[in-house]
Amino acid sequence: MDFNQLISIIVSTANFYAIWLILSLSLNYEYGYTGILNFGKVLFFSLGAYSSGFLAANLANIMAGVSFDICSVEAVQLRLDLAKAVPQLPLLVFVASLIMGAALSAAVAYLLYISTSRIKEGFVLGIILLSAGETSRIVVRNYEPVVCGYHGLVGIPNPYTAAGDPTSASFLLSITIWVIAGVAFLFINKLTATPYGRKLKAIRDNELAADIYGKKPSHERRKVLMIGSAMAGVAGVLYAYYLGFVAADDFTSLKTFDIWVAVMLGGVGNHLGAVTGSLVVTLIDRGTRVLRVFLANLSIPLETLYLRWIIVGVLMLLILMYRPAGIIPEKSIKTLGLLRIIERIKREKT
Amino acid sequence: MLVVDRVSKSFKGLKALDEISINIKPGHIYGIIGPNGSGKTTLFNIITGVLKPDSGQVIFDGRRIDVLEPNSIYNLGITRSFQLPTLWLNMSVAENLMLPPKQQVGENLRKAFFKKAWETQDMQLSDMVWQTLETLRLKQVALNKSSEISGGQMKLIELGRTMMSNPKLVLLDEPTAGVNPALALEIFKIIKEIKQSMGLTYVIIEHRYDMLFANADYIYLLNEGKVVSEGSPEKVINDPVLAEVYLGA
Repeated sequence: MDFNQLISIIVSTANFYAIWLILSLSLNYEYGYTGILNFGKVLFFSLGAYSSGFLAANLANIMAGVSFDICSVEAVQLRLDLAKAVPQLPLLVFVASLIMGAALSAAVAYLLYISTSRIKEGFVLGIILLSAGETSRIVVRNYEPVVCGYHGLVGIPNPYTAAGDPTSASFLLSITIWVIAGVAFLFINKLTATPYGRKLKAIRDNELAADIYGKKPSHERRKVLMIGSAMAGVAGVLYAYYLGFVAADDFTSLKTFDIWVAVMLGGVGNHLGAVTGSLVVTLIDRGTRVLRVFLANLSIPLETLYLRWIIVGVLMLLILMYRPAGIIPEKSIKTLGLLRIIERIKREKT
Repeated sequence: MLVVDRVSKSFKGLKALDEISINIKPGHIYGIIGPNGSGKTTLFNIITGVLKPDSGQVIFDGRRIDVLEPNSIYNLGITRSFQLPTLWLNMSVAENLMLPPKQQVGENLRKAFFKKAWETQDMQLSDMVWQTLETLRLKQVALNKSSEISGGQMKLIELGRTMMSNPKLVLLDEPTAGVNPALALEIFKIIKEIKQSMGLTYVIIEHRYDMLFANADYIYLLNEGKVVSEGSPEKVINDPVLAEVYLGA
């Protein structure tokens, strides 16, 4: 492995980590803080990705005034040519995709939530979300106009085509992904290290008590699911643009499972837990992929992608047995008021 | 203040409340007694919106509330405790007390981002919590997880949460159940103190009749979902219906 390959592996791992981090933070906000069993996380992730593909493909047709089949070779060439001819266009489409991905995911989350809001049991929403994720994948896989069905949509141009050479464009896209992940972390941290976060945890811990004490659980859960889903939509857009390709079969329920593993490993109700858990999951995922290539180069016929599931399974078992609260357990939300009480108690003790 | 007007509630054919009517006036302590299954907790659940009545209505301060959600009823000024404590078990005792106050700016999704908008209120809240911890003699466990404290202390936190609610009417469901006699006496002493200092109205379901009768101004005796006797504690004690309900005719 040469230096360039190593850098490429590090950058791609960092990109996948950043995308996984956004997803884990959003699930932690939904489940770790509010107790929403979102078993359909991949649905909102995929909606972001589909939005990117759909928008990039159809806008190119509209701008060129042609009506190519978006899956045809001509359409792919048109997208790439248009990006070169109007280098600012991919960036605009990227920004539009971010907005559309977030808005579409939030809107779908809203509709799915209100469809079950009369049923108090949280697992019903979880099952509806799980089914919706799988249903949407099957529909998109078999309906070409969205993202070319089974074959997937190729030729999503890099938003930084204007940078000139592909390396600089990739680097700028990576920076964008990391910045958005950082902003997501700061956003969710700032939002929940407050009395609002405490209220969400009250809803999670005892919905009846929260309702009796005026907290409007259903209303809050709906908002949280919409925000969390919008975040997942943004992650989906970044994923599609990073790969330059979208295919429905990339969005199976196993992706949801990965995100849950990241949150459970790291520690629920704690954003640093999501940071740690998604790092572990990304390293296992990328590590086994790199190992596969490495072994193939040595002509060793071992399929290491399955090793990943074994490692994740064993890790989950160990965590549940020896550290059920996760690698970084949940802590109290120390607002100024609580810090003052802690201070007073310390003073009384001394 | 609170009028329960001919309210009925059945569970799969079993009549828990049968056209029950009660009238609560401000500034008093009311006791609700009756054997198990007489409908006491169902009555609380209906007043607080946890259950909807099959018929009848509940009026609070001139407004019909039996159609409202629990959180709306709470915001009108009715708070309650539960027979089995429903604490937020992953949170500390202090956090359990910080949650009930209404209109917390920092609990608003948009305003939570702006620390300056809520930090003063949060600090004031900590003073209220401290005061409540002192009243309830709970300072020593203030930072413990509420799952780690004793059953008696859990009952005190339930009481503390009602104190932090700034309510008009407090419904207490067996506040001394599972509590040793000394602490039970203490709980009633605290209730009386709060009632006097804050001018609150209490409705208390209780099986320790000695304590309830010594502190309540008015008693409702329930049996099979109906009020079978009511009046001053002396009147209800001397009512032959009381013995009939508990011992059979």
